Order: sequence, then C-alpha cells, then structure tokens
Amino acid sequence: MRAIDRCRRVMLACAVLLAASASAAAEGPDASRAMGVSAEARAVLDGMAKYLQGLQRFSIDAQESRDEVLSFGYKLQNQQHAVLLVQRPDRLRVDVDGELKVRSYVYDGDVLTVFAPRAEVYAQFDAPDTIAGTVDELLARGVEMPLLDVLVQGFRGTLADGARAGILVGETTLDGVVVQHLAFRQATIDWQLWVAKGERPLPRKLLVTTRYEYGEPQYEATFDWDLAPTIAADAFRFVPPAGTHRIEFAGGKP
Amino acid sequence: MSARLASSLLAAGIALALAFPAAAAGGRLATASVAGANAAAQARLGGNRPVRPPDANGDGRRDGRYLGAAYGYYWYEDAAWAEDAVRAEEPPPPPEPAAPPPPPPAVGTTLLELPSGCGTVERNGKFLRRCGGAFYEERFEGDRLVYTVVQ
Repeated sequence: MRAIDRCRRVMLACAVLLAASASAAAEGPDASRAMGVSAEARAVLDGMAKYLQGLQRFSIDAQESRDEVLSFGYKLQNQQHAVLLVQRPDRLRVDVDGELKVRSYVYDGDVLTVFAPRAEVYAQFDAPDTIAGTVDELLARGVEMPLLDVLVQGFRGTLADGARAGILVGETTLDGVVVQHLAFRQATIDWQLWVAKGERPLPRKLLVTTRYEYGEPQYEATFDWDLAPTIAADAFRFVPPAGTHRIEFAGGKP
Repeated sequence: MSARLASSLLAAGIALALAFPAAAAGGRLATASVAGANAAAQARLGGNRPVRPPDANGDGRRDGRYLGAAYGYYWYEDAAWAEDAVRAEEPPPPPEPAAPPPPPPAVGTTLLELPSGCGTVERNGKFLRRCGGAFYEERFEGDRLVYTVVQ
C-alpha cells in the first residue's frame, strides 16, 4: 500500500514538474513561478530551517560526487569529501579534499580565508561579522564551497527561492533513517532533497541535476551529522603554513 | 584472439589515450549548489535568467556532441571506430622533427592551467609564477585558481 502511495506521489510530482516546464516554455518564467512550491514541501523546508537555526554548533561529514562531461561525451564522476564545522554566531570552517580541488575555507569572525594547499597559496577578505552575512558574501563572489546549501537554508531559509515548482514526493528510508523526499525544478537545475523525519529534521542527501547541459551532469552529496562535535581550539584560526604565498582575488573579489 | 580483434582493441586503446589527455583540460561540471545557481542567476541577469537552449550556437546539434566531434576523437560506439581499427594496422609514420616551443601568450591572457615546468619568483613584493619567458599572476576567481600573464 505504501509503495502504491509513493508511486502515485511520484506520478503526481512528475505531472507538477512537467507542468511547470510546459508553462515556462509557453508563457515565460513569470507564469511558471505561479506554480510555486507545495505547502507540504514548504513545511518540510521550513521545519528543517527552524531546527538548524536552533543548533549552536554542529559538524557535517559529507561524501560528494560531481559529474564532469568530457569533450567526447563521456561522463566522468569525481569524488570529493568535505567536513563542515559551525559554531554560532561567527565561526565556520570547511575542508574539502577531492579530485577536482583541495581547499580549506576558514572564517574566524573577522576574515575569511580560502586556502589551496596543493598550490601553496591563500587569499583573504574582510568578512561580515556573522556566518549568515559571510555566506551571502561567498555567494555574491561566486565561491562554490561545498555545503553552502545547508548553510543557506540553516541561516537564511531561502534555498527554494529560485524554485518554479516543488513537491513532497513521499517518505523513504536512507541509511536506516526515515526521510522525506522533496523534488524541485528551477530554470537551469532540478534538485532533490531528503530530510529526516521526526524530531531532528536534518538534510541527509542532496542531488542537483544540471539541465540543458549535454549529458545532464549531476552533483550528489550525502550528509553525516554530528550535533555535539569536538572542535579544536584553533579550528577557526588560519595560520599560513611555511612556504605558502598570499595572493589576491580576481577583480577584487574571489 | 584474431588479429582483427587484437587490432580493434589496440585502436580502442589509442582512441582512449588520445581522448583522456584532452579531458584533462576540463569538461563541463555539474552545478554543485542550489544557492550558487540562484546567486549566479541573480548576478548575471537580474534574477530573470533565460533558459539556455541545448543548441546555443545554432548549428543544429547539441553543443556537447558538436564539441566531441570537433576534437576529432571517436568514442567506441561510433562507426568511425572501425576505420581507426584498420588504420592501426598500418605502420606508424616516422617521427616529425621537434617543433619550436610556442610563443608565450599575450599579456593579459588568463589561463585555467599553467604550462609545465614553472617556477616561482617575487617581483616588487608580488608572488608570480614563471613559465619559460612568461610571468603569471595567480589569483582566486571564486575558489578556483586562474593565471594571468603579466609580462
């Protein structure tokens, strides 16, 4: 019975998302925006944002994959591992180790540092005095830091602002956790989010499909949460290792 | 294993070996952030970004496929792969004399990857990469590194 319900919901989701596309094609983006995000999906997103906003410190261990469509049409999947540390109101650190890049992003309440250890270079800018402001600044400067979406929803609650259509597909199980499956469509991407059901509505998985690119490459991330992380005293302080050089951001902005 | 099959496998290996160095120059990456896609749309087109059609250059083919053909490499399902197998049976041509090194790019050119064999120098307090006769300023664009020829 549950499988049948889910099947029906998937068909409904397809119909809504397809209608959003057809509406966009026929009448332009304004008409498609009217489709909107369903109340059910909005409730899950809002519940997640509210819960995240109540967390004073947390860490996420994320395993990510990112497709790369090569010039001759082959779709290669790159792996990446990221660890996020957050301590409200003004401490943030992300360490990324992957095939495409190795980076550290360190925010100490005053300065944000982007560090590329393989190239032995780093750059810094004066950051706003909150994590929320710093996340806005990173987005404005085009920084593709992993886990930004979790921070945006956790600090701003605006993740679905670009969605033309969004729906709660239904419930499923992910690594033994009952999760609610959300599906969204917007101009250049489709994205899906799996949020734990119950007292701790944490996002557990994100899938982003790039539309209108040959091969429709995907980015996928699964999140392992720690709500009582052990954080080293110097975790949010960047000290340039010996032999590294400070460089600038292109155009005055990163 | 027949000689025909062996030569076919060899051709497939050559095709892959040719193709993957080209891939090192970078393919088209999946969008990795919902918020990033929203911010990019806001920044570029005031939040009303039109959808880019699959065939942006209007040549009647999807861009990715067109690029693949433009590079001249064949993936294994292509019919032309069979022609490569025949070519692979022919003796290789004699090696050509080494070409002179290409001239350095013009000042102001920005690259995503440095040429090989670069060193580092410091000029007027600024950290630069030196590759052959060219000097590059290394900067972050977003969180990716770019290299601009400065002299």
